[in-house]
Amino acid sequence: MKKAILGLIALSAMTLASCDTDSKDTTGTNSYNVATLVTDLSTGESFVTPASYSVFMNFTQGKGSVSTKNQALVNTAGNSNTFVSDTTTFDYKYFETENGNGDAILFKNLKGNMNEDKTLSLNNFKFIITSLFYQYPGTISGIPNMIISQPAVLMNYDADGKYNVKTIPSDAVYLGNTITNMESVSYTNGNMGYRIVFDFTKKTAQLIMYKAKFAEKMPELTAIVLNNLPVEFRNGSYSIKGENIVPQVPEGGKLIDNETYKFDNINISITDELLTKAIIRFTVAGKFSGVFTGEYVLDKVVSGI
Amino acid sequence: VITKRIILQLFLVAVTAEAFGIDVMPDSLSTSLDEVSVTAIKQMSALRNDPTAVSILAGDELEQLDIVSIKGISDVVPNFFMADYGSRITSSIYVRGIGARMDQPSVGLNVDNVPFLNKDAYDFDLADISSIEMLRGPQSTLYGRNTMAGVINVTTLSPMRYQGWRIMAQASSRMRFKASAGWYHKFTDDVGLSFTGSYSGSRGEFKNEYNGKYLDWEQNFGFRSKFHWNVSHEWSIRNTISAGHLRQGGYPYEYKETGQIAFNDTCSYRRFTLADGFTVRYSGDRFNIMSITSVQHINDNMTLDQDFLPLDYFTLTQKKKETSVTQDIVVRSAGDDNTYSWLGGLFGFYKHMDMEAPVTFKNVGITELIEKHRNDANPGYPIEWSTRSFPLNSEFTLPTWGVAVYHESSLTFRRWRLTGGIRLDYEHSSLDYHSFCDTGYAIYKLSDEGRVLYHNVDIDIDDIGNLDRHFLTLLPKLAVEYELSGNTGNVYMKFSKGYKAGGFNTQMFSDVLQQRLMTMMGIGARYDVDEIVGYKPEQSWNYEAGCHLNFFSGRMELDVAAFYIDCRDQQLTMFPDGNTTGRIMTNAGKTHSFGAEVSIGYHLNQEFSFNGSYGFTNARFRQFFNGIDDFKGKYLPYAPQNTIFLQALWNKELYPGGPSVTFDVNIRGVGKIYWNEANTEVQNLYSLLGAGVTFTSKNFSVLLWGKNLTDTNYRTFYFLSMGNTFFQRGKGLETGMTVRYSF
Repeated sequence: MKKAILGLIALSAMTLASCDTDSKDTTGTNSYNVATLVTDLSTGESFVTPASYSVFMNFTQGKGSVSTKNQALVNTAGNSNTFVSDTTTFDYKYFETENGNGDAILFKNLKGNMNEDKTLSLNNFKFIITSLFYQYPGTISGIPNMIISQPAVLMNYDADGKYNVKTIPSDAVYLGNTITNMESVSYTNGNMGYRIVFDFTKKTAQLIMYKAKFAEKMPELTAIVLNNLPVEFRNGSYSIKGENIVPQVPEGGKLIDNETYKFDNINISITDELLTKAIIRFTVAGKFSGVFTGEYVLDKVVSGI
Repeated sequence: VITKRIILQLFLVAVTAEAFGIDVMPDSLSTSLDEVSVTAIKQMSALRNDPTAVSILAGDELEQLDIVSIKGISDVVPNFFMADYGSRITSSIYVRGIGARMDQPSVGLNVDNVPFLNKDAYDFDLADISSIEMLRGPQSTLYGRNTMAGVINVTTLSPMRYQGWRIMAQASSRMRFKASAGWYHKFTDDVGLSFTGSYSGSRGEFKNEYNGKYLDWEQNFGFRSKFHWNVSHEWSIRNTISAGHLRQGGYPYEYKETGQIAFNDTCSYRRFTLADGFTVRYSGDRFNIMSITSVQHINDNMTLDQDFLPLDYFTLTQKKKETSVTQDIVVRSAGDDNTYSWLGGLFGFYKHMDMEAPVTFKNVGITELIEKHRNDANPGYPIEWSTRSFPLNSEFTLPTWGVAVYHESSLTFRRWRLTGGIRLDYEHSSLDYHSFCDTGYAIYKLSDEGRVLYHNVDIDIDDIGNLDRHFLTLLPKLAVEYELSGNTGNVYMKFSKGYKAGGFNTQMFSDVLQQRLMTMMGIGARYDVDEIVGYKPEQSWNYEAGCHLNFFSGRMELDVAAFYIDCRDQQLTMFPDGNTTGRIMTNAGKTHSFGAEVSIGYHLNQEFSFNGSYGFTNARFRQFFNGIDDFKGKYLPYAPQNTIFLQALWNKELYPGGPSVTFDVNIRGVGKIYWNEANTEVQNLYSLLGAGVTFTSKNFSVLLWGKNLTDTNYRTFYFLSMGNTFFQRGKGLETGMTVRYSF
């Protein structure tokens, strides 16, 4: 238990907004700015909006609460909702991934009501803070690094059954297996990584396929980049589709068009409530037909919750 | 091969000693032969009395077979194979399926008790060898690192054993010439000094069809001086200093597709070696102490046309300077206690190597391996390199040091002898590397107007790093031996652990740099240097049972051994797929090897004798998946499954007390050998017929000899370069004459 408390304090200290050690208990408050995907459950319409969440934790007692002062629930300017959840116990989890080890603080079932009129009760409230500092896949000249250098937050809750709110990472890498078929010959590649970088304002995404290789004899490409893919946010998730896309490849510090690997079509869909599992289907150059199934790098943290 | 063939040795040595009038062995011959078999300081008793599979070749036997280096005992010692290919830097030895093509050797080499740490210096000619002892199976408890397949002890002639001049000259039909001269002198009964010089040169056997010149030419000079001083009854000092200078061509590799040996760039090897071994020995009533200090230096340069084709792909120049120091202190029991004997020691070494190994990409290499590779991936934006030649530079510093403490005890109870030993061995290796490349290329864009410059790319790679490895291991040994009655020999069982240190595969750095360059072009994955360059130690657990038997009042000796080796992390050299220039040292998951060896020496009568040996090895992968293919059940590459040696000798004095003539017919056989992990390339069992006739007078002898008399075609090596398959053919028919004169 002592080890867990030390881990909690260490994790919390990474973004500690305030800390009180004068009293008998050790407590702290952290703030996180996140992008949230908000869905009107009656219509299924979704939109992305920024929000700020604070977490109070009493490390000695293993209890805490989550609060926000600016969560929009409808896509109109000035909409802002607040809450302070009830104080409840949280769990500490140490996890190991292929990309490193980390700690997580888990609030599994927070309760509370939104706003002063308390008309919106919070349900199915999960709030997870993780400390996996992560960089993928290393420096590639021409492509900014994907780095998780701050504790990340994964969150999902319903507001009185009318709205669903969840965090959405603006830059995430999904790892798993890609199975490609070419002329009935199947090739499985477990090394490829798929990075989705959103431009929430334009509702577009950039897809970067790292270590792209679709057949045994194909030379591995350091990366393939598909730009300005249209994104549709709906039903608490999103999908990305595109056709006839000439990708770019990094070379000499620049991205250069590459007609050889023209994407006939691509379809990205997310399959779970915390947006950690992805399926990507694509056809390239009229001959490679691929399906990727994989997980967000933090999926191991939330699995089993 | 042949174990100690006392009968043959008795015969040959007697002939030689008498004929040459040499005071080589002032004591009885049998005593001398016993001395031969206990030359290694660490042996507890005569080798054939030890629970070890051993072959001993005495000087006369080596001369009869024209053996002047350890490569010569290949096939003669059972389950010992050292292929003759490439150049003298290639000293790949396989024993019982265990071997190494790169980096750390699996078999240790001691010359006059001085350990040679780098197998790049294993292949050298020695004049006036007194004996070569080959101990098979792990000798790690006493000899430590890199002796997991065995140890070779070479002993050269001492001025305390022979005084006078020894001169040798040899010429062969392959335009190979050898000459040596040795002066051995005893100033007093206690002080001796000798100087020995040797030369060998060869025109070569294989021609480069690209320019019509012989490839495997050689010029080799050697020098050795031995000093021996018995300071007192208890104390003695010995010092041996040796030097060698070698220049050679080599690498007659034949491209499988064309059957031609043809390449356009120079292949050569140059080596200078200097070694000094200083031994101080104290012989007390209750114990003996020996201190062996050695200093070794190697300075060599290997230049290769690495594509081995008549095309400008790429070349490699590897220059290396290595200096090492070893110190071994051995304490062992003395006296009349036949019940308990012991031996203990402390060993330490330091080795420092500086190496540079630039790979130079040339015109065709740039076109085919870089530009084409890249342009196939993105033909809309073709590239063109800024120069038609550029180097991928790699510089390394590798300091390595280690310490070990060891002990062995032997307890005798009636006919039983129990021997146990243990060694604690620590080694630290580090690698400082500097890889750099300064080049560039232009990216063009194809448009309706044609090709227009799109972007210039400068490539400036400058990677500096350091890798460290620590290795700590415990090496036990346990043996039980039973002495048969009536001096008919002994039977034994033995368990021992073998160990080969891990290290760094510096040959991969050209690939690392090449991959790094390609990733800058958007193709390929960047290697993890730590993962791909470092490799783990190899360890084995060895179980052996055998016997040393004597029949017909000692006229026949029969040695039999059976073994089982369970090996983990066996170090394998592999050729990566694709257009790569390097070789990967990787650890195979699990392998096992079992087999048997039989050696026989039979002296039928005063005139006729027979020697033979046979080794069988079944070495396979138990678990080895290289990420693409599963090699479970496949035979280990490069390790022969059978070795055969048969020799018949007939000697006749022309008249009583007069000159004699000796006829020798021998057959050496090796195979089958699989060349790759997939077992798709193979050399079947082949045999080479040899013969010799020696005329010996008082101090003069002439040997007429022939090797591979049937001109059998066989292959000694296989490898891949850029996906191309290459072989080296074995040497063909060769006849020659050797003249020896001693006075």
